[in-house]
Amino acid sequence: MPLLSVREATKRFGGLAAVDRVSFDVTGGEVLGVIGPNGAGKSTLFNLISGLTPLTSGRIVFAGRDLARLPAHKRPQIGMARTFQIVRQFGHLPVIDNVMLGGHTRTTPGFFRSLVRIPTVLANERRLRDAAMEWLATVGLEARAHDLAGYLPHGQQRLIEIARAMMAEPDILLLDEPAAGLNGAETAHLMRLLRGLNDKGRSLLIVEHDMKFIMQLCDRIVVLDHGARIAEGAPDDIRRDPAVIEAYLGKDATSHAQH
Amino acid sequence: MTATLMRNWLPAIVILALGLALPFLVAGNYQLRLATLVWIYAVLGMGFNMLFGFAGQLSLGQQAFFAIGAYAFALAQIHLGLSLPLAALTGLAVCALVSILVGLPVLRMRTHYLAMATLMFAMVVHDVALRWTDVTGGTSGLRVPPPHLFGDRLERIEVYYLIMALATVVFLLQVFVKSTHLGRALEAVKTDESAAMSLGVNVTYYKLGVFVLAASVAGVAGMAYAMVSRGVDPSYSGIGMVINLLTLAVIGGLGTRIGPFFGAALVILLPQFLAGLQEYQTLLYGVALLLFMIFLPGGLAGLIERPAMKAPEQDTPSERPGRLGSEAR
Repeated sequence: MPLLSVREATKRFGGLAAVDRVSFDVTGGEVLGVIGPNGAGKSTLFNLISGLTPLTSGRIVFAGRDLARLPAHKRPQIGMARTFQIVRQFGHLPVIDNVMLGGHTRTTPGFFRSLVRIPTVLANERRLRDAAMEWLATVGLEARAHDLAGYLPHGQQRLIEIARAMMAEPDILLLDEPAAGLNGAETAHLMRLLRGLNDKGRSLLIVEHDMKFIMQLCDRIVVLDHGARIAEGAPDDIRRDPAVIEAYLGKDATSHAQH
Repeated sequence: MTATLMRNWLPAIVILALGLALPFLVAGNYQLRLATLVWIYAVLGMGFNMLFGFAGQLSLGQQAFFAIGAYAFALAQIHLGLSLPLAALTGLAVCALVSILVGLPVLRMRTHYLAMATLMFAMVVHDVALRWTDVTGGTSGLRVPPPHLFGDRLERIEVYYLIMALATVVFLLQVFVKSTHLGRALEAVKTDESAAMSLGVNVTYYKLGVFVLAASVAGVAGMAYAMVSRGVDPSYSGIGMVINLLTLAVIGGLGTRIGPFFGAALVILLPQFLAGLQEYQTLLYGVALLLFMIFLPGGLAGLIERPAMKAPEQDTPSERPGRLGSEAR
């Protein structure tokens, strides 16, 4: 059974189908890439999977569970975490608190219960702080733990976002353009980090613009264009697929490539 | 670690020590009453601080809960003959209940829409207080019996310490909220709701939670005010109250721990020195608000409670997503 199964997922905004009957599976431990030109519907697809946008039709099943009625804030509890294309940092909080926020659903009681269960909450705080320090060490930022997140350079903010998502101990991590805006060294560091997570059995679903990055990292790639899936396969097959070349470079390029 | 602890707690300890010593330092009943009012306003300010400073939910209806708490407190004593603690619990329960009923629909709105809806709610409450004469006593309001606790009538100084103890409890509550997962989740709700959701924060529930908490705290302040004033009248929910509250919150320092104490002291004590300028009070508050928002957005407390790290000059904090991001791609 696949870990994540997307079946005929469709999202219409008015008359426009941003995501049009897209289907694919992610098996446990797999790294799946989703690529496509600007406006292909990649980010919308991510919002559908993470529950920020409701499906118009189709089904998304995670670990055997239909997600149709599961609100976004409950998805980290069942093993799904995400990062955003544009880094979303809580700049007024220290780095460590940003990371601790990622463990929100795992351990903590709700709002009013927290006010009467103070010892439980304080014990949780210590646990969360330790776990957050470990993740910060994993991404190499433990020295910045007490700095305000908003003042860190972009590349480090990206790493904080990943550490934060990992606090939910997800089975699958959804990464929306993780390499966007990173320089060469930062991209290499990110690649090692993601490989390390994958080696420990986490599935990754990655939307990315950086072709080199995704070709090196992914086991399999799904290509979207105008909301629809136009290709799926191993990186080498995708590289040679005429439909993909056409979508990226236009019709002329296809005929050139074939000659 | 010790340094951090000192920085976090020292101002609060100084304020509390000052509060404990104050009854022995002030000359008369009038000054003791002013000091009591400072604690009450600080409580009111802390409720608003949690709601707007921590969670970014701008409600202009806190004075309604201030009044609802006070009226419920008075009515429970007058008509049900309840003792002070039971009447206080009744007031608290009524505030919590009304805030759930109001919060469920209005918290779907954000920013100025939320502010307008809550202001409308407060105006309705104000009108009810004025016109439902049979219950509220209309313009003249209701008289609250002198405070008794365990059979003894409380002296002024006992009332002072009781209210100071309440303020201390609310302060500890505020610190607890700010320094645990509650505060982090509220900060996330304030900054970016969809990111908060993706991290597992039940945004709707947290907004309602902090709204109810702030309303209950405002109710506590209202009850204390009614106890000290021996009465409650429609001015409790009036526009003057919300102006005082906004001035207090901004001048004290939004989102800080001790800001409400500074703000409350200023809002209560400053008019004493400006007795000759009574008509200009609102004008002065307005000017002070503007000046603080422009030149000292962290308020007075912002001068003491510094962020964990000094900001480099060239970098600005990325309050909104994408400030340091790469959306150009």
